[in-house]
Amino acid sequence: MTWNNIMIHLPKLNTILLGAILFLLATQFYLVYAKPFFALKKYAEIYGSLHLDCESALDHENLLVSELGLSTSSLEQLRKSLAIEKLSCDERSLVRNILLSAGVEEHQLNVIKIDQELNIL
Amino acid sequence: MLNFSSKHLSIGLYILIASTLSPTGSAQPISIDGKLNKIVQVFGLKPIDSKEFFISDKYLLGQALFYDPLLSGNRDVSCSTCHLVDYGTSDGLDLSIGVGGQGKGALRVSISAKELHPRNSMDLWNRDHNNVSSMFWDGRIEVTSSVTNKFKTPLGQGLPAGLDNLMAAQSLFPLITPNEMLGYPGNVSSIFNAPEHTSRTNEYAEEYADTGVAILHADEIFKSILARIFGADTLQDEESWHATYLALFQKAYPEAEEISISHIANALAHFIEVAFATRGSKWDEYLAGKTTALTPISKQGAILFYGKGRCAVCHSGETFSDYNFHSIGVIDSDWRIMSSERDVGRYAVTGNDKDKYTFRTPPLRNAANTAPYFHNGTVDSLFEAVKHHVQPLRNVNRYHESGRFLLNREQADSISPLLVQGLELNDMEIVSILEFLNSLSFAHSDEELRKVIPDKVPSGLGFLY
Repeated sequence: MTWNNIMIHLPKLNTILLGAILFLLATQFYLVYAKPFFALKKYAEIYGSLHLDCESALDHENLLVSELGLSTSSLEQLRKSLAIEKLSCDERSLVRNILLSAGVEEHQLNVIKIDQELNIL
Repeated sequence: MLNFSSKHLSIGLYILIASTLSPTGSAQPISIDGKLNKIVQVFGLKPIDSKEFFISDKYLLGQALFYDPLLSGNRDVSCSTCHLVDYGTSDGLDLSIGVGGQGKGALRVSISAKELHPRNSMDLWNRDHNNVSSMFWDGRIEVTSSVTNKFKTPLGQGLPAGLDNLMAAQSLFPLITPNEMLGYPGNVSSIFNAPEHTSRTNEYAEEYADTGVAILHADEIFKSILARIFGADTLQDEESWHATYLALFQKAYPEAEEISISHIANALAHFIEVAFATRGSKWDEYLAGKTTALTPISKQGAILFYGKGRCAVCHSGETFSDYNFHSIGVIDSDWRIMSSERDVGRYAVTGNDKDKYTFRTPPLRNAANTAPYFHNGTVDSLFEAVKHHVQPLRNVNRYHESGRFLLNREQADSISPLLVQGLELNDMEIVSILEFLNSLSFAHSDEELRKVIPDKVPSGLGFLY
């Protein structure tokens, strides 16, 4: 390829480069700002409420420790109920993973948790 | 050339933005059916066995006995008086009214009752289920061995032999309880009955006139009942219903050499088991695999019932009861508070302090149709009944209009620690639980249910249904 040939195709090359740069910028905007923003918009409330449910389920586990003078069969049933209550923890983990993989920062998740905890105080 | 590139860039950006709106791809929080599946696995839930509705000779004898007021001393009360199909096999009253009452269901009033029946009428659904290990609110009829049909009852060794099951044992007790069906010495039947039943002496009650304690004379009372129904007593052989009952009996028990009260009890139990078996509820349909059987709210209610609400700790199994005894802080009826005669519940049977103020967990199938609720019917709606579990201490340190505490200190202390810990359910969540409870009700029509009601009974007496 001669210098002349390069000069002939330069405008086309410029366009391709411009396109590539724009694409990279758009991708960066999407990954850094848009995707986390929309993910938070969709899941922040769910995450907050699951956080509270999960924390309360974990608190309730103390019931099993204290046994409350329940019969063996009642304790067994209580254990099952708590297992179901703790599904909210699995769900919280799932939503947390969704949010983190969407680019939401850990500190943003902490803000949601704190907001929820303050709301119920 | 530039136009071409812009077009592609626009498409690229569009794809980016579109994918942003669904940032999670296929990952979603656990679906409501997914959670219910987990519940089904953890609790090992399955649909209740559907008992076939089969009219046998034993069923027909049981049906006649269940609806015939002839079994009551004053010929005015049948089993169906307090177990009405129209009221979900209960009676719609807070405290049942047996002898001395008039009217039907929630409109029944006490005209000449000597004493009030102290408890709410229990429904009769699925009483043959293997889980049912005790009867009555205080569990005074219990199975001690289901293999050898051994029962612990207030009759002790005096319990007639040959009873098929717990329901049969239970069905004997209203017959020997004065304020339920037996009546009192000196009573006579109504003058408004048909001639053959008018102003007749209550011979059942006369059997215990000397001691005033009916249960001590159970055997004599049973004999008296058999005599009136079947004419075993020569004096009454000419009664018109004797032949009908004898024919029903011979068909139901062709092998029997003599008629005993156990035959009566077994026939009654058989009728109750067949007539009042739950056949098909939306919850059972869901458990059988029809995921559309429940509404989303019912499903949410089920998740709360088995999870956060912890209802299934006591309301467990296919009939939604552990048949165990718990105190949930239900206040006594007014007359008990005013007389300071608190209902001690299970304690009256066992004498154990830990049983004070505890009552048997009621099964919940068809609960939506059996208001009012609790052992003394002090709560009118299912919503309030569920809400009470969330706030079991709400009546502690509150006063009755008589100036006495609604709950005395012992009652307050007896409340199950599981409830005292507190349940975090809001009103919307309670409504979801109610939706779930509704899904436990009979799916079939009133018409189908009414086929258990006979056109008439052998004695010709009128009866309620």
